[in-house]
Amino acid sequence: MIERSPVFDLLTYLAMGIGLILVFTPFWVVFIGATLSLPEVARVPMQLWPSDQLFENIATAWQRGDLGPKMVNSLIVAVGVTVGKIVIASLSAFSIVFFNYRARMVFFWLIFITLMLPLEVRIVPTYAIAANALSPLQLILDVTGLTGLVQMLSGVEIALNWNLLNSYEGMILPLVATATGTFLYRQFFMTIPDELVEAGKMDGSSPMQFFADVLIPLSRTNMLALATIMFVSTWNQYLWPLLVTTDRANFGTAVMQLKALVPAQNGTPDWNVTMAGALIIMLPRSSSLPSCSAGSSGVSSPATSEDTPMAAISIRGVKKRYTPKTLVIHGVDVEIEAGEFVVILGPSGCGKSTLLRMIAGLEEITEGEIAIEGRVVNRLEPRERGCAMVFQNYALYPHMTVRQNIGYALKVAKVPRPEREARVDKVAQIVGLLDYLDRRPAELSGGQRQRVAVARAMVRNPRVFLFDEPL
Amino acid sequence: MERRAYYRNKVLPWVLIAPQLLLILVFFYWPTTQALYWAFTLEQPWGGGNTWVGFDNFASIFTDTRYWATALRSAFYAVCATAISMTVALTLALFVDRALKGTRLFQSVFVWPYAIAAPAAGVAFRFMFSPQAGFIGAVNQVWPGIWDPSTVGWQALAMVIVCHAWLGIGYNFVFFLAGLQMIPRSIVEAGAMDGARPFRRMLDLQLPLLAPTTFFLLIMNLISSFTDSFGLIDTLTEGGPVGATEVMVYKIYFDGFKGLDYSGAAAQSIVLMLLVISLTFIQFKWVERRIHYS
Amino acid sequence: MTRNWLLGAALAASTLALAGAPAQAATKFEFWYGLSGDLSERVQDVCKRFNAAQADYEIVCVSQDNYDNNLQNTIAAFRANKQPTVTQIFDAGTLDLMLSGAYLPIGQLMSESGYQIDWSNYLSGIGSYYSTSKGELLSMPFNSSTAVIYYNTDALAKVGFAGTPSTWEEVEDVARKMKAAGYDCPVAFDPTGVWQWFEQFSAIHNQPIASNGNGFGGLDAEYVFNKTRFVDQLTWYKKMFDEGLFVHKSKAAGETANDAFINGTCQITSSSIADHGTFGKQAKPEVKWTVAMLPVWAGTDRKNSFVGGASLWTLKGKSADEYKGAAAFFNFLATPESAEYWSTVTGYVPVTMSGFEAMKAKGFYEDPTYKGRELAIESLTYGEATENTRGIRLGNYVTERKEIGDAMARVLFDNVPVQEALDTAVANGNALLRKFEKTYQGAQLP
Repeated sequence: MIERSPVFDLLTYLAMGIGLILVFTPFWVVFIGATLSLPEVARVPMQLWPSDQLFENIATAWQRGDLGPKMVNSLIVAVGVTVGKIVIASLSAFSIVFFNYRARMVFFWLIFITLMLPLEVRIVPTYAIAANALSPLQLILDVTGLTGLVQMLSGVEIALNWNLLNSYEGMILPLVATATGTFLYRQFFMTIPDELVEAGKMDGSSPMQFFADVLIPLSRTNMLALATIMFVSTWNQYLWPLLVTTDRANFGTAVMQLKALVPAQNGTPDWNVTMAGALIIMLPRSSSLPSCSAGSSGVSSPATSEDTPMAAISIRGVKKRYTPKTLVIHGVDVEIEAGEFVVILGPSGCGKSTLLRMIAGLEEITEGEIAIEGRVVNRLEPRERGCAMVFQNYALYPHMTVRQNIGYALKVAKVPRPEREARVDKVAQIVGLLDYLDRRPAELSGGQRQRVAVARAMVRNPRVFLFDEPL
Repeated sequence: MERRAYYRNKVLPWVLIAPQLLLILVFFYWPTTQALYWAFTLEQPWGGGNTWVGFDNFASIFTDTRYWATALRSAFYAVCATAISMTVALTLALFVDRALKGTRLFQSVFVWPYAIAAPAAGVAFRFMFSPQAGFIGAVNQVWPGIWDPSTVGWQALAMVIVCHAWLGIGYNFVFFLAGLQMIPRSIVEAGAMDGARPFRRMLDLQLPLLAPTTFFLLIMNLISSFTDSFGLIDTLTEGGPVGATEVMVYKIYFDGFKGLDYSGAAAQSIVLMLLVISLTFIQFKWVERRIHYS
Repeated sequence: MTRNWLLGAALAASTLALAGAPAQAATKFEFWYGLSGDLSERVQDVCKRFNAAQADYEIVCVSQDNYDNNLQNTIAAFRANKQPTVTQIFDAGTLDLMLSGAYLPIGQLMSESGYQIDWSNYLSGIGSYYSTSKGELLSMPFNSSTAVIYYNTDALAKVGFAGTPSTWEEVEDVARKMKAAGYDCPVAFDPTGVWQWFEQFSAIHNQPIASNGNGFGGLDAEYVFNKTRFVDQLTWYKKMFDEGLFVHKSKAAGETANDAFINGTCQITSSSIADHGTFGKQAKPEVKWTVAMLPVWAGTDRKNSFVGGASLWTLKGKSADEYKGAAAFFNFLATPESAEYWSTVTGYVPVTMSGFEAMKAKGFYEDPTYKGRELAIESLTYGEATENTRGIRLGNYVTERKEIGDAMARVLFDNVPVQEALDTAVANGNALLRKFEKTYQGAQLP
């Protein structure tokens, strides 16, 4: 979090609050329904506060739906599909994105098209396949005459049969055979910079090593998201398990039981028990949902600093803690004169970047104060401090051209277009980038990128220049 | 978007992709081809045989004005549901990404809609949108008879779309948030140094950098609103009133499996598939090239 | 083809393990049905009773949730040669199965297994629905019902009506008085209730739905209900609806017609006799109600109503032992005790005359809990059957049902003229029939 504008914070909370109500209400209804007695649940309008029947209903649902073993089945199938999908999808996406062979686009579309015809629509022929998953192979053998040949030679007739009905494989495999995972991994792999692949090649790693050492660790967040989604959607599968499992006692899943709990025509409308069942069946999934682990970059090491001959900086007794126990900066007192060029040296992790970021306003100051030109800036937003900063990794906006990158701060400050252009041209000339203004960062060399970063800092005529290890 | 760096290997890519190809060939293409064959025949449901009729099934679809109405309705449904769901999820994700105190609580709740099972969701929605009771029904106490999705077509359609969008919020939210958190912090910080306020940074930096995620979600949402709307419609409206919520996939399911018209349903499946494929293809051709993956 | 498991064995050891454990004692066979919830548990009870009653066979009963799913799943299984021995198919799916040749006629099955069943004992309306044009019964009647009308007796008393209305004129009069007496919803009406509001109306008023005796005479039948008394009937529904005497109640509207009735919101509803049991258990204590046969217009020569529900079909492609098991199961169902048990716990009608008589003799219908259920039998057997009252034997009828429901909804909600709505439904229906005829080109109705 960079800015602490109370108004904006309020707006944030407000928006999240509305979102919470939107999202939460149906759950509330289910929960209330599960606590009601039979006459209460039949009442119109339904009441909105809980009653006292929750445990009775849950017990009834649990017992009537035989939910214990069914949940175990659901778990086996959901985990099977999730694991299968992640393994298969990551491998095939790796193949499509990182290898250059002619068939790859064909393969991609072959896989992708499977999303476009839902199982509901092709369930009858799919069932035939599940009854004998080897029938395509059999047909090939028959058509090519191999069956006859083998029979002639050995007297054995080949009849392939692999029945998937009433088995975990039957529930799992057809659900693994879709494209969501592959597509997701492809999207992620596309964002892996070419440099990483090249670096990997330089390090002499094989494709599989690159896959295992670089891609898999990098795709952790994605994997979590995919796993969640696969797990939940498999858990909720209804039509397919219903069809392939006639042996309900051994292979039934929890959601199938939920349907069985829903009162049908002519049945007792005890929605309260249904809701209690829904509540139970929802629980393992709600708790399995990851809270999207935040993984933001926080790299920092040695630092350098400079400022233009306009502002003096005083740093007085500045301390920084990230948690009450970790004191990172133990009290720094520095006076930097206007126009002075200061270099801060120190081992990794000693707080150089943190100090710079506190000057820039990107980190909160735990204790002490920082003044620029005699004015304490502790409470000011970065944009109000008049600093410019060149980041260690340059932080160029990848989707903007060099011109847009340099001119962005001016655009934000609503500098009129002609003046903006003129100033961008001027700095570009100083750093020697005039010929590259219409390129994007990806099309520049490392040195050129560095110069864009510097130019971006210069164009605003800042009073303070901060360079975080830019060389 | 072309990559520069590739691995070169003759065998490995084929080995890697083989399991997936094998699975989809057996469990998707093989059965689908059989179903598609039905589109050119009149197939007896119990498998007693069929007669080849060429494109007759397609001709009768395309001359049926009600089929066109269904197709248009599906398109409208897809666009609205996708737009609503993605906008809400994105807004929430952008706010959650600010990581204010207590955000975690909100964050975990926002994912929930994805976890709710369709029957339970259907029941909850039926209650919430019921004209006699529920929240929306309250307007009937102020203006009697103004809200009744059971008889007024557009209201039923609106209801189904809102529910579809709601169910998608969790999914979209997870991806948007993951996408936002993958944007290097320094880029947002550079924006702050450049003087952009939070809202401005969202528009100018985070949104464009989210493009790959947005593209992914756009495709997934569009496809899913064409193909996954079946369960919801079946619980909420069963296509009614008077077909006002009948979208293509529901019609396929109804004609094919309730009406036992396998051939008509297969022909409709082909049309649906071609439509979704071409929509997706267009997006890949025209939208993806504007995306910067790195 | 002699099956050899050579390759399959290598690839699928798990399957073989399953196949390698033969049932030692009883012959197992499967029965798929399309009921869920409470009714599903009753079916399971029947299965348990059968398994307990003998040791040679074990029936495995599998709920496929609802009729549509069961039909679809049975077809899928049949095409993959994994079908159950016995399956439950609802009225509208009957014709496809009849033409498919995928079944074993019940008479043949029973006589081959050495059981003597007196088919004439079955209620004629029920028998004819599942019989060939020559009168051979093809499937085992199981859960049979028909449409009746339920009245709130307090509401009737309040408007001073003694007994129950038996004509639509009386219904209109009563409804109007109820409205005046402050009841917001005199009659609950759901346009998707095509079965009771259209089909049964046509049957008891001796009106054809389609030519060729509603399709019994051949596949070239055509819909004609846009020229029958149903046009007037729908016009009347519309009038009643506009006056607020019929009130729309459905699942989509938040409360089904039946729920509205047992909650006391609506005073009259038309539904299946099978709901008699549910109403008994569910109705609010203060709601006093009774049941009657569907009304007719005054001066009508009343005919029998159609049978609803489903019957049990034996599918081809199973072993002789399994067929023996199925026959034993049907024989078990045909015993008066089973018939009585099933009818008592569910509210479906006893499907045989002797079952009905036995129950009547025991005073079953005198019991206040079950009183009124005999009216269903009366309705099913009323008058001399005509070609309009045998049943409905029309292709793709499920889809046409939806068309008719839509037509009623369009008239009521969107103010489409009655004739126009019905003409559309007939035109669409005839297109369906022609397509069906073409699909089964050359096939003859059995």
